[in-house]
Amino acid sequence: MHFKKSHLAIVTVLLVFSSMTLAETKELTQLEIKQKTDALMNQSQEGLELKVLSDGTEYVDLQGRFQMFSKVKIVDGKKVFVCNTHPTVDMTNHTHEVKSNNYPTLKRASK
Amino acid sequence: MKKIKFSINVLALSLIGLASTSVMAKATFVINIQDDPDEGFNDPTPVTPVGGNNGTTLGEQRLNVFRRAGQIWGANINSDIEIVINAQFDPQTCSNQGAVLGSAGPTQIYANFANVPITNTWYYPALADSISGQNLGGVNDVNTIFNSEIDNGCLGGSSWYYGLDGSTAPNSTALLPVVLHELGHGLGSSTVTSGTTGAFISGRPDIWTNFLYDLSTKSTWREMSTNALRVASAINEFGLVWNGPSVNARFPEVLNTSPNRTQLTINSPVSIADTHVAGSANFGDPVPANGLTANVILANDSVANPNINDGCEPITNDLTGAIALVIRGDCDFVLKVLNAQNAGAIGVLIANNEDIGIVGMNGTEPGVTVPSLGISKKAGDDIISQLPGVSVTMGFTTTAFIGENGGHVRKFAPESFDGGSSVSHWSTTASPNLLMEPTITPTIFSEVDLTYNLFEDIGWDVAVDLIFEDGFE
Repeated sequence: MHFKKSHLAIVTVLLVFSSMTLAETKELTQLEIKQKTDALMNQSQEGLELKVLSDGTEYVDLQGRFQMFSKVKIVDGKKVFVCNTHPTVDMTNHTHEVKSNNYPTLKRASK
Repeated sequence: MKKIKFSINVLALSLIGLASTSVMAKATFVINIQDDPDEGFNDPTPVTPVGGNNGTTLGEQRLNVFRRAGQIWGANINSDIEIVINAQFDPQTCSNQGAVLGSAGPTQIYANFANVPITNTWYYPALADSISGQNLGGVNDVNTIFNSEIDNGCLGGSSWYYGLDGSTAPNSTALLPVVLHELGHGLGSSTVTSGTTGAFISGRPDIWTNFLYDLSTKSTWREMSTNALRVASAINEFGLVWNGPSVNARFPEVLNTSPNRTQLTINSPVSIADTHVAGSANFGDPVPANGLTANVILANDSVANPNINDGCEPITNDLTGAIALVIRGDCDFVLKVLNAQNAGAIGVLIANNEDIGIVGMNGTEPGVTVPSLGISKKAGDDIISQLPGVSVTMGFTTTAFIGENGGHVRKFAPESFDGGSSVSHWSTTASPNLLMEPTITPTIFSEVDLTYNLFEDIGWDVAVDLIFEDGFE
């Protein structure tokens, strides 16, 4: 029987979800650890190598980086959507401006 | 692994019930399904068709949503080269407090390929293939992953809505706009220039840097001489905008209008004649409706420490009938304006002392009766470089729109840099909501709005005079 890494990840995730009511001090799952690590790597340019094809075309394999993540967070019972490069939901900690016709043009200061 | 190919052309649009005129768009999407049997796009769980999605299994409905997103993008862009999307539904982070919905991004970046419009510039693979007319070598153009756990009720009992009609069920999250948004990133709606370091990959700018424009320096990211300037611009909340001809021409049709805003016009000499975004003051008289025009005099308070032109001490040169220019810093705005007023100025400009940014001015001083504006350091430096004999008008824009500044659509650039959200999205102030804002609002479903024009700016061959009977753009 052939197992993919994804199979192990799924099993891990299922075990985690069966205990989602535990306190915050529970250990991170393999999936969460991977995603926190990935968050650090996602925007890094380190190790990306420029290569040249025979016709002079240049390219860089992004190695799965620079992914944009769409996420949803429940805030006061409402869904707040955000898109950024962090695969972890707890990075979605900013709020967005309420749209109105009187939105400010510029930041204000006193000096 | 299964491949699903579909192409969009005029005939196909007719077959799926969408009449069109003058549509020449054609783009073929190939979906490389990465899921194993019986999961993700292959999930055999029986489901009831919903909202125009006729799939009878979970996998079929997911694929139909993907197809729909591909149809929408494929109707807007042209490419003779297949656009290959790696796609899978896999478990991602999900709890009753939040979840990852999905992700996407380009697989490679290309430069100096055949027919490239701008040399030494990175382009995303689907666009590079389209421009060059050949598959440049990458197997896939875009990687995408979407969260299969959503359908297991992990998000507080919420689930994906697979309907194609925009009637998202309560306590559900519509998949189509998420896929549309993520594919938008993969096709070119993002930058790989770092907002935290300002660095280009391998020292080359990407195509976005030609259009990311800072209102305070009046320069594109490509033109900025240092990484530090790009870092500062990435958090220039009100000053980072998109300056591309297609977006510039179209946004008045898309964005809602706003009350007029203050600006500074340098009338002469010609060498510095220009219009600059300016911050208003909440003290003193407002700028007159018809504007205030006069020559500029640089205020001098004769106190060199810290700055002889900061206006923090009584002004010693005669400013009668002039618009005074003072430099920000060292004391409150109200004191500077009051000192200039007492020296005879009829208006005051306060130039920023930081490279990036333009501020609006707060303060309380009943004795101030003249209008004042905050201007960028660049505007101030330009004026100073040509004194004496600089004529300016303190006035207002003739038109203003919500989500626009200085005649350009704002990018999302909060003061606290948010990796991925910042720079690569439209400002959340835009009204109506736009697809490629960092937040997918319930009012967004199947529209591509200004991203169509952004794609044209970065080099996509886009559909012309696109008209659909069913109303989607």
